[in-house]
Amino acid sequence: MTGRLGHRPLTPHLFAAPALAVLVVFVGAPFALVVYLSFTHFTAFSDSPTWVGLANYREALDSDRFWACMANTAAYLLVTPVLAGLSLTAAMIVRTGLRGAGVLRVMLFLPVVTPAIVGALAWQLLLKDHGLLNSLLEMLGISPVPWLSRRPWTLISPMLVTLWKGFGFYMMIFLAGLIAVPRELEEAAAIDGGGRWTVFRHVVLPAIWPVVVLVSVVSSISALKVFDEIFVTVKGVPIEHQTIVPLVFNTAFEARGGDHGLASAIGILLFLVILAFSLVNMRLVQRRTRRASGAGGGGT
Amino acid sequence: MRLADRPFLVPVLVLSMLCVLGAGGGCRRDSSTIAIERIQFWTLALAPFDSYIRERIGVFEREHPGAEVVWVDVPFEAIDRKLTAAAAAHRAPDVVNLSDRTFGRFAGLGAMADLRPLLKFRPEDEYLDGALAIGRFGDRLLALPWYLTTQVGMVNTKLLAAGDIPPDQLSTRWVGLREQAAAYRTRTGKYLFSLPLGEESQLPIIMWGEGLRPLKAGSDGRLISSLLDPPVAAYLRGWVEFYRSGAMPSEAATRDHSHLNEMYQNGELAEIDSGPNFLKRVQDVAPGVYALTLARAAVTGSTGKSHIATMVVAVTRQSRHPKLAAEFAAFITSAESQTEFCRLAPILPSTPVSLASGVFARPPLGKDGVPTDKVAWARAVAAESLKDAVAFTPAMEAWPDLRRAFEERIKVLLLDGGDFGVALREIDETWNRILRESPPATEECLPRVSMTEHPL
Repeated sequence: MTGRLGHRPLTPHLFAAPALAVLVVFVGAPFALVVYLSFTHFTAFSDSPTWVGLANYREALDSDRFWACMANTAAYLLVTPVLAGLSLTAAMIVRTGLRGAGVLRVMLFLPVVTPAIVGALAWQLLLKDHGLLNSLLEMLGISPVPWLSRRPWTLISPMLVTLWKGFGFYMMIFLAGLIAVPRELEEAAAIDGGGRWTVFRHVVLPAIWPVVVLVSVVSSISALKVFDEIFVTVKGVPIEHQTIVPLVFNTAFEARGGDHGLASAIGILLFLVILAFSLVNMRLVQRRTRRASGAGGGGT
Repeated sequence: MRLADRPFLVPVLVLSMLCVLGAGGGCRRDSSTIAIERIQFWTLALAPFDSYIRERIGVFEREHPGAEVVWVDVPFEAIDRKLTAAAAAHRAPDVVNLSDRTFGRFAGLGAMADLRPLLKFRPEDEYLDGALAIGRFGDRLLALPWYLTTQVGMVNTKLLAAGDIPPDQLSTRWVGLREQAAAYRTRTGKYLFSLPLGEESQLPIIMWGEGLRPLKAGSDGRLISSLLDPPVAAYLRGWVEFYRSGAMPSEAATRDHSHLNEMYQNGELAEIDSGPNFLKRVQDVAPGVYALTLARAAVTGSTGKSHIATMVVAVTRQSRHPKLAAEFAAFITSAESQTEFCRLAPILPSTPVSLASGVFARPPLGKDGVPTDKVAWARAVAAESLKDAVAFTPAMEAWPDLRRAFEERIKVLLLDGGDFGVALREIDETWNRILRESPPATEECLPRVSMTEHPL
């Protein structure tokens, strides 16, 4: 193989070229443009961007609205452990091979293939003041909840949509991880007297740890970038009740003058937060994995 | 992989390239005789009138050889974003139909061309003065008025009866309606009416109808905020307290006008004020509610004047054919085009000629005293109210920014609580800052509403 490629050194580059071109055109160039715009004042009807240096970053960091949205974004991360826990539990149930598990798997996966906007609209109908959920609460003698208008419900409602939508996807990832765990290991642990929880904690969880990490990182990034659920479900609530990406949208398309420069700066700040968050997350995971493998090595 | 190993690839590639070249060639026209001038025309949610728009475009193209009009219909809620995105890419349409609110925002951004040097006639001779005022910014005319909507009141008689309010006893003034709504809520647990107070807040609009002015001339003649003037502050406080009392649905703070329509057709509101075309929608989607509906004059402030919502047609500054674009804008808003449009849609025209065309006579009453055609009746009621209608929209670039600043702060006040006085002072400061940073505006820009003694 190496010998054949050695005759045509350009071949691997040519194979990679189309994908690279797509990346450069659709990811690299827009990213570079956003970085550039973040240092300019530019509205949709400006003739050309005007260089303003770090003014947009200063304006964003000095704004109470930015920090309120950032705090909401951080709070939105609470959805991640719940999502991971629920989808792992569902994957364990589906994996048991109970009768009807296949149907259950399909049903749990359905929200994943439902467009986010459709899902969020359906949830809006459920959660509105005179919606199904409040009618049920009233029937039970509980006062209706302002799901779509008052804090903290304006954050909890989109979280419910995120849970509903992401649940099936992460369940399938966990299921793939669980299927790869040899049954013999679990059986051996059970024969040695391990209960279900012990077997899960000491055999299954370490085996699927890379999957847990993947789900945590991916779902955290999704939570930090959440937009559809908030835009559709609680559109109209003050921007201070929303998260960073809706703030970017509001700044670019709705707020005074449609300030693309400031919106770009906020976007870059979010990018830096996500980058830092992911790096810390992965560093912690690597340390834990190293410690676990070190402990394993000492034991054997 | 060598091409020689895959002989079928060569003809496939050649054919593909020919197809691509052929497709490009298909777009080419013979420009040796007539130069094609292509303009793009965006309308706002007019897809149901597809055949009318296409017929008008056909007539215009026949009258203007070489002109080609590409029509794009845009959903109402998407126009802001689509126009902003198109303009950022320097691909704004040549001619665009906007609501007065959206138009004000884009005009303030300098997006629209001055039509005066582009038109071959005096617009004052063609359009109703109140409607034309929307597009006037000083000496410039940035838009032509198209169709108008003056609101009409719609009452669900069954829901009203549940609160022991006879239809003729239902107040037609906002302050009176608020009092009745509080009692109605206590008696029935339901809502008498709603009004957007936060998102797309109507408060800065309806206060003109009360004879109150949120703006006044400062010492140098430039407009400054008058939100802290006691009558204005008291009026706004009245609405905030009314909302907080729970007599209005919570959507009044977070949703625009669409929540009224949804709630009314679901039988959740006893009274709404909307365009007469909304009654047609009720007839289609909620025939039960339609059967119980009675049309009447819209609720107003103490002056009795109602607001004209105006759809305008503007030419963008990015247009490559501004003259042709202006001609098309004049053509689509002409008396002839508007009269024809009014026969098809429950709308009102902005030209006196169309208004006098006899399309707007009240239909006869049936044996039971109920109009034979409720939609036509509602439209006639709305047309009659035009004589008392004024566009409560100051013709100034800063107005959309002032409204947005008001909405953002009032929403927080309504939903999160807080001190009314503090919030109003903050809005007042923001308004004065925006006014200082904007092109100078004087009292000339303000709606002319006859002032009356305010009851508060």
